[in-house]
Amino acid sequence: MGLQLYDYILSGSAYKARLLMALLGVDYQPVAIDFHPGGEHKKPDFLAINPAGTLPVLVDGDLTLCDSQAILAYLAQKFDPTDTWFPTRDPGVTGRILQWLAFAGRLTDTAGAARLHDMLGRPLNIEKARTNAHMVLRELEAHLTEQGFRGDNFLTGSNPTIADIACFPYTALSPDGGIDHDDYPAIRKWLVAIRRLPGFIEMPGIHRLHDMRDEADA
Amino acid sequence: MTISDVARNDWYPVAIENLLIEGQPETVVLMGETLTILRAADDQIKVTAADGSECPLTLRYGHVWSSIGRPEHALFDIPEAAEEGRRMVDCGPVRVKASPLRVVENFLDIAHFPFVHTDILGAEPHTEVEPYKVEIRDTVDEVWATKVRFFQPQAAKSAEEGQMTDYMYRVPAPCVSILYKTSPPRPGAWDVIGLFVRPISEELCDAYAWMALYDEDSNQTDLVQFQQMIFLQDRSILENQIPRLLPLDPKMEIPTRADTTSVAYRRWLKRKGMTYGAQLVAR
Amino acid sequence: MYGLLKLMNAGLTENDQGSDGWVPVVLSADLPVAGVMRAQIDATQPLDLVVWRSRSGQVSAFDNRCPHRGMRLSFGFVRGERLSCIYHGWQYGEDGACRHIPAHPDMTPPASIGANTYLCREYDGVIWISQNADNPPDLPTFGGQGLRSLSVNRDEADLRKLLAETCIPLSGAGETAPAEASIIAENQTSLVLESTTEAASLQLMIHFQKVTPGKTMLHIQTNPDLPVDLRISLSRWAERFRWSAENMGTMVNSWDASAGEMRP
Repeated sequence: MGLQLYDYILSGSAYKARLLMALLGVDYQPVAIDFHPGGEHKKPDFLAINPAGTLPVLVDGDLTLCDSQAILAYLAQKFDPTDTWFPTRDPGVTGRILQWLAFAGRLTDTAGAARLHDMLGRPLNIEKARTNAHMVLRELEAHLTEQGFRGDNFLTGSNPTIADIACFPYTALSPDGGIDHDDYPAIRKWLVAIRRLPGFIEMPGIHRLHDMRDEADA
Repeated sequence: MTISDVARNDWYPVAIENLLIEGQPETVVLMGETLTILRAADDQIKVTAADGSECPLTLRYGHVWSSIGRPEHALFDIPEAAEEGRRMVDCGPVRVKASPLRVVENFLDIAHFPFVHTDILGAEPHTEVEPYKVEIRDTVDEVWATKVRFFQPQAAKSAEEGQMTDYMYRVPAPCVSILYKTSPPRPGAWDVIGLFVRPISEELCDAYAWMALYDEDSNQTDLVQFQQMIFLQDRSILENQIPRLLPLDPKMEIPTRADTTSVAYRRWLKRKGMTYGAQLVAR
Repeated sequence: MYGLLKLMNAGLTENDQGSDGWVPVVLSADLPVAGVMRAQIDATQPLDLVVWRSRSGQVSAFDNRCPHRGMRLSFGFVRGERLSCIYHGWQYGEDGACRHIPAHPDMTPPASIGANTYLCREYDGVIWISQNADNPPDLPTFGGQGLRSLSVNRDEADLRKLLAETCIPLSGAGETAPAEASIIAENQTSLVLESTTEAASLQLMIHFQKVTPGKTMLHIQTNPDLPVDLRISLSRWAERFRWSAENMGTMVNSWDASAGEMRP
């Protein structure tokens, strides 16, 4: 019995797990949950698996993990022999990665909520969500700007970690909620750097980087 | 603004029938007017306008259809919906900040498959759109595109390699498009995918996808999510077309032969006087 | 000591700027090879542009709209010396002419199909755009290093006034207190702030892009070869400056007068 991922194709949080598993080359069995229109994630069968009624859920044998950040940490520790996606030997590095995992939650609560409102009509104070999303993106932009001064392309160094994977989806998808990236040059460069990683997969709302396709230029 | 009669007196989807829970009213906006849909204790569904008046009602193709006007015709027929052996799949509404007419037009387009639905509905270098046939069928007042063929990288889960797939398109109402596509398990038959659009305003809409498929194997939720995936790939395109309103002035945008369906659709809208969500002259 | 700017050589000249002149839209380093971005310019006729850099490094600017179906070209992608629209893959050369329509791969697109182009020049680490083909590229030379671009929800005129009152850090990691700065050169697109103490001298060149009413993009350059910790300090100064500018309820003459309350 391999890994099972309770999944929803439009969930940025579920995409974190799908993306890291693709980058690590990990096989899994997806189980599609009818988040929309069926609302299956708030019904008893699914609540028995995850009482919080959120997606994704990762099941590995006896272990059930219901938080996307925890899932990233677990997958990296279990399946990354290079120990680069979640390095834990340096307490400072570990601390900074955990801090960005928490930051990813703020992206979900702002940009992610705005997206659910705009895309699936979920009730929300949309103007407030967008304003708050821009405040969060400004923080990210400032940090990535400083990383650029240091010559680092990613959130915690020159290599991507689960911190980048955690923050990527709802940043990349924010235009779905009316929050564009025009003001954020450092974020734009960082998003492209992640999209160019070997093994990267898209989700709806994030287009293929077609410039990577080899084609003789006329 | 005034809404033309042709827009006002048409049917639009307002809810998915089997998701309406008894006693729990749902409200939606149709062309600026708020409608309430209620499944009453006697299992009867009612649609009510803000002033309390009852709105027209039709229950078909898994959806509740209503109108803010007085439809002079019955809801269009999809004969395939009555065929035995088909699975009906309601994919749910997705909100799009775009003209409902842009949403329908995109659904009629195949040339974007390699760039927007990459490796699913199309892939480079198979980008060529072969000539196909488009007509406005005056007897039924519908736009039809037939003999449409396009290379699909993976036409079915079982297909190892890509193949040419046949399509037909039908526009039975300004905010509805129906796609017929070779059914992988039954190559002689068509799968049917409908896109039913409810205009909230001229530049905002809810799009409901609905399918009638010959597919005995796939999980229902997988089918829903496949369709949602495709539609959400289109959504960021639709929200970034300028102008938001669909231009009916032929000088505004440049079509090629691959856009024959879109040209006929725009001409048909103009002829009908369907200007809701459209732009007649450059602003 | 850090290198100083070549202000004396080319200087900031009073040229015909404004809607017909040159507008800075991005620092060179923020538009890498194959980069595609959107730039808005608040002019008499507001502009929504796509700015892109080809494989060979050439920069170009078009109306942000594919003439085919109106799709924003800023969602597009670069292959070689062409920009492609994400929707149907129509390819445009740097002159805006449509070169290839994938739906009809054997057809040569008619010469009449093209994106509306703008003058686009890369000059001294900044990419500039002009609508006026007759206007020669009379652009400031600076010899500086890009620091960052920063959007501020405030009009350009207010920001210029506030910058005249600001203090800037001269060292990294808060080793010394920020020092008073003064505007030593200014024209319609840009200004130079300088702060000099016995220990150090620093210059910031700030280029203004009116984005939309009430929103301005600052494109900031510094003296060349600043150490990383000083660049970080300056980036944080820019954040603080923005905070103050955006949180000022009404314009006051002196920014410092209210700084005690306003600073985070």
